[in-house]
Amino acid sequence: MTTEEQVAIALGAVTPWRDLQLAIKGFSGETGASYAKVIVRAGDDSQLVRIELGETAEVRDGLSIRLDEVPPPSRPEDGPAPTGRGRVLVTVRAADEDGAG
Amino acid sequence: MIELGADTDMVRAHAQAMRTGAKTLRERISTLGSTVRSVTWTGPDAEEFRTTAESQFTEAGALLESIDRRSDELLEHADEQDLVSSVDGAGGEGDGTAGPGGDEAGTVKDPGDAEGTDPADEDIPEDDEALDPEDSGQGSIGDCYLLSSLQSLAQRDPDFLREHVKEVEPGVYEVTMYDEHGDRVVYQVESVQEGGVRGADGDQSVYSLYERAYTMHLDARGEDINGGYPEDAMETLTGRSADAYDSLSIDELAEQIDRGHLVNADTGGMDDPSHDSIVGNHAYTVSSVDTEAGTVTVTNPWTAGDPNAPKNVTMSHEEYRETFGRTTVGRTVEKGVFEGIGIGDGIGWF
Repeated sequence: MTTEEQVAIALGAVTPWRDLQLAIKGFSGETGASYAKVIVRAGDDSQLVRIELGETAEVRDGLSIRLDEVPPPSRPEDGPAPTGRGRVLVTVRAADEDGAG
Repeated sequence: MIELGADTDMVRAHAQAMRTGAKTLRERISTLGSTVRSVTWTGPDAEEFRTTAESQFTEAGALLESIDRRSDELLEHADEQDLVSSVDGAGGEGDGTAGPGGDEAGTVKDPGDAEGTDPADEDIPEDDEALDPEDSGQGSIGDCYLLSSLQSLAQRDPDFLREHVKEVEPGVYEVTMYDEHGDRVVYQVESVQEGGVRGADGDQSVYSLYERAYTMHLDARGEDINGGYPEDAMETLTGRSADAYDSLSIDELAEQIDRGHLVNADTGGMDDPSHDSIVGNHAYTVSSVDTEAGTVTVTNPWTAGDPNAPKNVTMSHEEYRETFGRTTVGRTVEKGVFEGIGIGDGIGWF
């Protein structure tokens, strides 16, 4: 049995999912080259996983993350940008017995 | 007339003094410019000197225009003050706008059961340990710009934080903030944001109360707490002006810290910073500057212990400039007339 759930991770914030803490270290919203660097923390263990848009990355046995959506890229010509605005959408797939950590 | 907050005659006199002072400076700079241009001196050094001088005169002119605008703002404030202080004037206690600078303040009440909130605990601690940024951890709300500003306050002026939070009955707190005019507004807080900032032990903290009050502040303006600017947060927290700069030299950074000012750095608009330990679209507190070592230490609002996003990061000033596109300086005391002018923009002090 596995559980699959879409999770919105706010930029500049830490989003809990089960006993995991998910955060975005960085991302690119450039067309054709979109990716996100996702921090996956469980207790003292922390992993940094780079995922291309639409791709799935195995974080560890029984736990994978697919990158569904990234914000559009920031442009200097748009002027000063706020911090913490926007979100990255991922789908977390976890084996139930894994307990997501 | 019922007078609230300020003597408008004095405010107008101050505005006039600013305008007169700016006029005097303008005349002296003009005289200085004539002197520079009249000196008989040729060659590359002379050209470079004159170019630099002309550039600085231009920038000084812009500065004086800014002072004139501030003077106009003062006059507008005086007019507004007279309006709300008159018997038939607008405003008044209870609408969140009363009491400019005075003891009378508007109060905004927390319904206590708003969606996405939890009831506030009783006796939330306010001691040094409870305010220590090391013991604070941001939640799932994108308000790093606010929390990094609160961390700055906790480092530079913790008493200010304490004095602006009061438990008026068990689990009910008054958090004092300031509106766009610098007028006090009291938020009566009975809850905290679900999934918001907590202490390292997971308990509610003074930061949680401020986060709730700031959410109420933004709700009243139809704005979302997810995403914002540190200068807006600093001004709301302190009632004093804050300034954002593209970059500051290490000496300028150290000077702001030495003055006890709030200093933040953020990667707003930088989606994927090159620094291994710094998060994109995120705000940090500038905790210390070592001018001898040439390093800057920044503090993350997130919980400590994550090697991919450490709580404290020390980097060279060069790395700091490459990593952070914006530095924000706030204060809890009145800004001096010339303070903040000239740093980071090459104008220099007159």
